[in-house]
Amino acid sequence: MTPQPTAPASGAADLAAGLRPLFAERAGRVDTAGDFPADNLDALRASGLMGLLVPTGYGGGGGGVGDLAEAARIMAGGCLSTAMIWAMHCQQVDALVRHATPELRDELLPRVARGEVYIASVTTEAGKGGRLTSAEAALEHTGATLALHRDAPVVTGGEHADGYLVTMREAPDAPDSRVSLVYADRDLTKTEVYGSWNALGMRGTRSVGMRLSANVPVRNVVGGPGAFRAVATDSMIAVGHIAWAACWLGAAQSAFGQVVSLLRSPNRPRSVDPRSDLTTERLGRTRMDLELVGAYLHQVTAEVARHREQGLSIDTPPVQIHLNTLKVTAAELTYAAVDRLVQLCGLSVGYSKDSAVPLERHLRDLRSAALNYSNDRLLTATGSLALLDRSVRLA
Amino acid sequence: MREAPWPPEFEKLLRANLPLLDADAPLDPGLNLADHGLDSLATVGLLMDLEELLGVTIPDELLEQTSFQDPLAVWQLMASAAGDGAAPA
Repeated sequence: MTPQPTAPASGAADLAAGLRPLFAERAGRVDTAGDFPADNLDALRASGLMGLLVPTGYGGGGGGVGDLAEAARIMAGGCLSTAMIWAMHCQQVDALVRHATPELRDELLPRVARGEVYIASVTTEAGKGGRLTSAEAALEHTGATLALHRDAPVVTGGEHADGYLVTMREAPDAPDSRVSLVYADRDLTKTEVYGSWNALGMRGTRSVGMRLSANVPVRNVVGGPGAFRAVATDSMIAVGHIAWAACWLGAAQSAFGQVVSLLRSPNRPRSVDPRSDLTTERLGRTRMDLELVGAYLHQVTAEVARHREQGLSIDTPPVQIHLNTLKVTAAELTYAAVDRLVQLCGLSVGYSKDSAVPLERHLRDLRSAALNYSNDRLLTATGSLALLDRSVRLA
Repeated sequence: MREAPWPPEFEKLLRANLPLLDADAPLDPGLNLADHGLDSLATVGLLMDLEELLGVTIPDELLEQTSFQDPLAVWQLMASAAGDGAAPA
């Protein structure tokens, strides 16, 4: 594979649409075998999309959150696992673009733009209860470098990544809320994979357990020592919620489109009468759920893009509420949409692994949406934030 | 009387969706279908019945409000989906 120059952001949707049929063709195999979609990652590397968010000055696509959401939505219509892998890579890239030291940016971003570096996120840690902005394992300062020893129970795509963004406690004597984000290149990191990823859905993401050991230069600290919370709020959480919501919407939208096409075809299940009120009510509800997620995704993505253009912080109660609402709502409504399609289509089409419409796979995949950065935590956070926004500034 | 451009099955399906058209009244090519009981919900059912009967699939982009204004428009819609303006099989 020869990495190609990154395509301009304006072509991201077209590139994604070009890859989608290939991803769709392989999605069943990826799911059944639980294999990481390495072929799809190669296609993404060659397409230039791995560098979509890298500024053009570094050879990247210069894309923004809107380009990311649109490409993610389109690709997820082919393979949700692949789209999530790509989206999470872009989430890491965004953090680097906005918060890495100039030295690290100069060294790393051109390689990302060329499709040479796929970056995985290492934020999970046993015993911290899923709290993103805390860490137990501490960086040890050894002269010019930082020693990193980290055990993470869930690292999406970890076996295949070329680099890792790792959350670490700032120092052995720092509180667990002082978290540094550190970049570790795969070539300079000792990695050990443990456990397996035999999950209900999202089986292609290969979210394995990993132990990482590395000595990284001090310049690889992203956002400054102990300042991960600011990076997370400014970049990773916002971009993650937008990209995930787009992925889930793309999968549910694709499922809905396939069901509608089936109902319009002579192959429709005999048990489903497209003229019955029951069928049309279910179709209407499902379409409405997708419309709501689509509109809210568009709205919140535009809000974040606007803040970024104007140099404004998104660390405000209303914007954080909007981002949390996007994530929770997209997770709930896209799953509900596919669940309703299963009910509509019945056992043979809705529930069978051999169905022409892979509804059961979508259902299993989308069940993860409420768990991935748990809805429970976001709902309570949103409730707390709501108490800080007496004027109720809606999106 | 001039022979209709469509087969009897087409006319039968169309008439089944026109509750306000007398059974013995002719199905004129320019007959206003909405005025004779074809509402928007019935249009969807008629479309699917016709697709099945004629073995064609109408692309979404060909579906306009005027596609179902009269029998001739409906027949031409079916013919266009069958390709090159030829009558559907």
